[in-house]
Amino acid sequence: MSKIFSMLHSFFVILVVVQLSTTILSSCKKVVKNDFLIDKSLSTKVGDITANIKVDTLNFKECYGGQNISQYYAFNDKPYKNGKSHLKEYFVENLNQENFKSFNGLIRIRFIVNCKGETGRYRIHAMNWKYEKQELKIKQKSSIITCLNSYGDFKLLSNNEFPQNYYFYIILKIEEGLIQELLP
Amino acid sequence: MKNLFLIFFISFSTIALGQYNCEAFKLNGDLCKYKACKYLDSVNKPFQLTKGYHDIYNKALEICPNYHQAYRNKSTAYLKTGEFIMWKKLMDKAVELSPEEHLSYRGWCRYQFFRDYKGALKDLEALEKIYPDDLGYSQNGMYHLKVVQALCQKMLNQPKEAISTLEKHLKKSKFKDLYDYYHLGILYSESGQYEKALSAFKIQIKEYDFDGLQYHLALLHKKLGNLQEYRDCIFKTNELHKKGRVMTDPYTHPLDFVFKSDIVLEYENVYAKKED
Repeated sequence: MSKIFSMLHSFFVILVVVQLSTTILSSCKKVVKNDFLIDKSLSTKVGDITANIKVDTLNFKECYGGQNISQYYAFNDKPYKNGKSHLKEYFVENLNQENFKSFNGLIRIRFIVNCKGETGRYRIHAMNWKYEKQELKIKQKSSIITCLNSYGDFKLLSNNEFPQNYYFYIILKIEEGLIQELLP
Repeated sequence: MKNLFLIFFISFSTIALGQYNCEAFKLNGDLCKYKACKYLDSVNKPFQLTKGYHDIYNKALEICPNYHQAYRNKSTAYLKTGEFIMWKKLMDKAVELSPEEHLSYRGWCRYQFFRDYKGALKDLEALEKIYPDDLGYSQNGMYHLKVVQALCQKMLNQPKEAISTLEKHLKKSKFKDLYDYYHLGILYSESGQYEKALSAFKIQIKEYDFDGLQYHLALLHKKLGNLQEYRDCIFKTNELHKKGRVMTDPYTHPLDFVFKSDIVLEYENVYAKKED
């Protein structure tokens, strides 16, 4: 009888060891496995901007309850109301380029244009020419947003009779603090 | 020999379609990519910005972490939303795994979407080591990558190198692409080679006549003191613009694009009346 218990004990010990090692190995494997999923944290659509009361102004509202926000390239026309060169000139003249003296790289500002042509929900990120993230100072960010806000509205774009909400972005290419190009 | 022919045929049809034929992976004994490819073939993919789309490609990468095309397909969403850092990370991974397939696309995008001329040139130089005879075309099919190389040189303030690259390419090329002689004409004009510029613009008119071309031709006539030709070309510029004969791209403005504001300004200078 004691021999049977001893055998059963050994069996369970082996079972537990095997189970534990499998769990440990599989968890290790998972870490390695997910390592290549560079953007695994994506929660909604790429480029979606959810409202954030800490940073967004309360007076901006999307139309139609914000149910459907298109991408700018879904329309035949481009969003620049007075042309891209005009917007670039506006930035050159009105952005305090002193604030960007030592900056070399790209700054992207993504935002929403609503059905009235108003803009809001600005999200800014920047990179150097190694495509590494660059942190902008608050005064740099606010000077960009002030410039965009004071520029005024963008084109109303529609695929049918009603103007749509849409996402748009602009990229400022800056070298030694000077705006060289405006994209896209 | 039979298998070699089959692989060649499959690979060629794959390149032509711009997507993979999974059987080619199987024939090459690459079962990991075969499984990922078959999985991707078996599912309907939603809009490329959605989480659902990226979940599908993430699963393909879990099946086969070396399935480089998945990184590239995922990168497009970031490219279209201006998320340059994530786009680059994904494309770097694709290039690292298969430079012969993805260097051209990364180089083209750096030029077209981010105006990263140095980075684009670096990629195209690396591509040239792999394909010394022919770099191939840009993703949108508008430009031979040699032309892109020339345009990058131009924007890096190397006009002599740009002209030389473009001239050599056009001499060798059997085809005239949509805007090649337009860019060459502008380069000649900007470096004071006015007669050569005129010849290049004349060739371009036969290929595709559009507002920007007539605009630059007008400016050239103005420099040469041909005032009647200048006025005629400005008139044609305005007419072509109204007809929608312009350089087009759904995502951005191509290099040397002429904006409406510039056309209006020049038109008003000549005809002293407001654009309606």
